Amino acid sequence: MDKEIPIKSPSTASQIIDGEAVIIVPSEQMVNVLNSVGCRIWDLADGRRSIAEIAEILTREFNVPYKTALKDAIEFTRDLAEKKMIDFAGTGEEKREG
Amino acid sequence: MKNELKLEVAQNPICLNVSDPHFLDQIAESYRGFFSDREPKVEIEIHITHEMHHSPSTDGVVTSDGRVIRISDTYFWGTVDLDRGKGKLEVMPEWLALSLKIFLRYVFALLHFLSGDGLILHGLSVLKAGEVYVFFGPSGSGKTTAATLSEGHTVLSDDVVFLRPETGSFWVHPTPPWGDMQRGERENRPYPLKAVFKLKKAEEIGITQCNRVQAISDVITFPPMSTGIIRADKLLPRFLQLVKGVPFYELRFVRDRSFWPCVDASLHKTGTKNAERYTHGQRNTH
Repeated sequence: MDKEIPIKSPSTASQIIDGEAVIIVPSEQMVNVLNSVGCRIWDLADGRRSIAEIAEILTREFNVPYKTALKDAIEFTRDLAEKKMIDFAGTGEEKREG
Repeated sequence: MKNELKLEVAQNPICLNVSDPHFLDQIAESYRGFFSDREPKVEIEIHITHEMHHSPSTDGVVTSDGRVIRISDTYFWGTVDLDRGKGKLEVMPEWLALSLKIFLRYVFALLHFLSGDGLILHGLSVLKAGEVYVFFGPSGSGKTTAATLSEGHTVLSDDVVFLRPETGSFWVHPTPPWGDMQRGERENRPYPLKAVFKLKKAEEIGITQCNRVQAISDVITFPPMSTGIIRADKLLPRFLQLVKGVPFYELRFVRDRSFWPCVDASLHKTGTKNAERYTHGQRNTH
């Protein structure tokens, strides 16, 4: 799971407002607001970084243990995927092989 | 006998061509005040028949194939081709008024969204002293009550509110009486928007200004069309512009005459003390 690469679903649209991310998912008629950490994960879900790489960045920027950041990033991206806000673009190994 | 009727809502003119001229007066009566003499963007053939050639949906459906929209409900079937500027509506005579109301609401909403930076909210708009107050909220939040408490003011729209930014402000366009709460005299032209209120029925009145994140997450209304036509990346910036440019409040209200004094106090500097009083949950018993 930590090697998977999250990418924002193309059907969503988002704006950062006052440090929070407002994301709309028209197909689900849904609006989501993410706090600063969620907002950063959303920002980093660019289809290039794996969840492990995102967790490394969170560890540095939010001064949390890597293990905690990784667990949070896995759970959070899984939640976003269930809400059809992100897709997984494959794994880091596939990226390197490609 | 001429069978056509030209209508205009939110500066979008359309033309209805009715198969049976006897129904023309009935339609004209419902859309009085919205007649137009401008070149229509869409011409719609209305075929009134007891024998439907298409199968209507039982629960209301809007679908699209490219820029062709199909709208159907229990008693009608309609389509609009945006590129050709042509549309059709097939409807049973006994359901003409209701079907036309549903169909045209979709058509005008679509045209409004696709022209300029149009925005649509589900709600109520009230014209008071030349400015518009918009009230929105989920079903049961008190829009009907707010309309009832707006005696003496003009209810511009009572179902969907059509807004558009222009010259640094937002403007509200009147709609035909698609709900049942419209009243008062108005022209078919835009009026300036004063503020937006999210309604919440409560035991005690109170009013709180919303921050922009709260405002945008509450107010976003998804147009009832395929996302292939109404794109998310067009929708969000328009609502963001709205919440940046217009004050948003959560209005907790009770069904009495404190409603408008509370609204006014929130907006006028002279009423600051009153506004503060309201935010602490005290009830105006005037």
